[in-house]
Amino acid sequence: MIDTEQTAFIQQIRTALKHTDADGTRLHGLIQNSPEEADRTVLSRIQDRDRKGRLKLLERLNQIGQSVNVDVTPARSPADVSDAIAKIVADRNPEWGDRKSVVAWNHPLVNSLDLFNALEPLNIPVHAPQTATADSGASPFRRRAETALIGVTSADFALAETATLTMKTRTGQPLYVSLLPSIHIAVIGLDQILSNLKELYTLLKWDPVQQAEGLTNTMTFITGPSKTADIEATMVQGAHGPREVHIFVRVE
Amino acid sequence: MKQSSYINIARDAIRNPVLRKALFGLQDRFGKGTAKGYLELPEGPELRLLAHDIRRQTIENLDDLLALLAANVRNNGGHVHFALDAETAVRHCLDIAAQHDVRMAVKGKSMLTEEIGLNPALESAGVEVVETDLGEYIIQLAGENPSHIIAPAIHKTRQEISSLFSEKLGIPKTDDIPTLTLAARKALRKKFLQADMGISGCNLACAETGHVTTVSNEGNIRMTTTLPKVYVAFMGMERIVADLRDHQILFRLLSLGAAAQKIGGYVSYLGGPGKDTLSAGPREFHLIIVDNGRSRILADPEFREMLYCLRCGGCLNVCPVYGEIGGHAYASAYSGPVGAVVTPLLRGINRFADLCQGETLCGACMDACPVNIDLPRMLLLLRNKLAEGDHQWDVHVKNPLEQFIFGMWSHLVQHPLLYDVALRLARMGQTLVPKHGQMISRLPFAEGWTRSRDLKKIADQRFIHRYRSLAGRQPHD
Repeated sequence: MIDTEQTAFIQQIRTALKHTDADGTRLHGLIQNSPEEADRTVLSRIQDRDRKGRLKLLERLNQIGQSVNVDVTPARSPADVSDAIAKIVADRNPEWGDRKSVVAWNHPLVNSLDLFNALEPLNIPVHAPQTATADSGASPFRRRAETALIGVTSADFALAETATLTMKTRTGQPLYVSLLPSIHIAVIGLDQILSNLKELYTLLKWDPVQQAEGLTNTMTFITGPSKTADIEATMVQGAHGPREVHIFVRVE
Repeated sequence: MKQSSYINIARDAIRNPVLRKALFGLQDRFGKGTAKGYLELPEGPELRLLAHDIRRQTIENLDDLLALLAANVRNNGGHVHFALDAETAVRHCLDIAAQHDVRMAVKGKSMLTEEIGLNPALESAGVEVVETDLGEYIIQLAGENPSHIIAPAIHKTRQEISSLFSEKLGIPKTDDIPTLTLAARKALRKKFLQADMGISGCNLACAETGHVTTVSNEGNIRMTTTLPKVYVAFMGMERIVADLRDHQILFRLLSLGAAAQKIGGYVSYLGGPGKDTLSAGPREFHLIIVDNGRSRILADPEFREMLYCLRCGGCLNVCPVYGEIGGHAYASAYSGPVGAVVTPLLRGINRFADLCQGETLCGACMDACPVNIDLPRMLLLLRNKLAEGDHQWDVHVKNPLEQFIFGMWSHLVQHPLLYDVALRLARMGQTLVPKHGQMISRLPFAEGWTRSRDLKKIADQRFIHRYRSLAGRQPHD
């Protein structure tokens, strides 16, 4: 619906720019419609990357992660990850609830950890989103996320050069799982590591699977724990979101 | 703004050692970090020049890009509102709040909402408004104004914040910054979970995909845009890019300019309401696009470049004037060199005349700008308009007497005989004015010239006469 407000608004800009045509043809020059040679090079570089190249990126991710307080750990099996998560749970105190709890995405990599059974001996409840309800008020699962100690997600990609996790919004994978709990843990596969933002944007723009999905209603990039330097320019971790970020990379 | 308020606030700031230490620390860390970051860009520092070009092309096609953005946001299920002025922008937000029976709104930091006066309007409509950026929260509790674009509470000490939190949040006094941060984390968490509306600004919108993007380090903007049932984004009409390729370049530069980071801690693309409870997100998504004087800047090719600005605040972190006087003297949400140009253009060149005249034209702001905006050129242009008047911008000559005197001067220096007579008269006249030794200590009728320094006397003999008499002699060798 283009209302009169929009028409008047755009017209004022047209007048300011002294544009007389109004057919939108100028957009063709502004928005890239087909990949350039450089884009194809990036796409094939990603596609042709072998295990050795990926392990190299993992090393870089680990190295950069240390400089932005992201803990990167290679894991040989799902049990490796769930054992490590159990250790983290045992070590930390609850922040938002009276007792420790974990919320997790409904995602193949997360489900494979079988956290429910792994944390049962510690008597730590694990919650995952169950059924969608039409009313999008605060769901029972969100209530659980509000008091959870740990949120476990996967991610679409991890960028080695900045230690950044990227994720879109999909059913069963609400973004607040990476935001509300005190600790955020992400589990990804080795093939989900990219080199940098340029590779990511090239995929988002030109990869057919990414194109078909679009950016979804919310896409987020996460680099390190929540932080602030608003009091006397002194850096403090844990402003509003998670105080810790851990990435487990499945390398088997 | 009163003529004297800039000078008075600046003078107080210069006398405040705590503020000056904070400003020095801020500039030392961010100013240098940003410069280093530009040098370390994979594409090299020339990326700033490419970005300038991208911004130019974008602004020159703003009409079509905004129409495309609006269409794509609507395709994603969001609502788009256009507001030619501040009142309309505020009214849109009040209408949305009324429709959804909103009692409390949480806000991410947004200079635009300061510009249009959103908070007082919401509050008089009975909506509690909570600023959630830690710095903004502190100054909201204190009832003050932001003094830096990305570090709004840089003028406050930990002791002041401790007293403030102890009074308003009921915590014991402490000098420990992590403890103070934790107190705000706890207080604001409750607000995030209870709020019915989230409001944020927009760093850059992407026309191709129909998303606005926000960047923050605290995570407050993610909370604001994800948790409440209604989300409203405010966007200055120039804050747009055509496609993802441009976005990638500009937001990397934005992160460097703002906080010397390769990438901000959290970057969010927000493009519409959540689909169901299992994917979450707001139930309604509104984008309010605001002109409020920007199309007037757009219409003037000499000031159009100001609309390339991404509001990162990078110029504040290098400006020698901002570094001494802080943000409050600039009397608006936009301080530093960016404020010295944009505030007069949005709110009146005569009214904010002190701002451009207070800057030094040293050029540091241009070097620090992620999109290489020529701020010194525009500062000079503003001064020119104040000196000579400008019909198009409704500028009247700031000081007609000064203009008259410079007119006389111009006449004088073009007429040698007249100049010589005036010089002789002045040489005689100066025997009557007060002096410190050989220097004039007070110039009657023009005391501003001698308020903070003494003036040299006019020489007994003109240079040209001395030169001729000296040139007539032969060197002794």
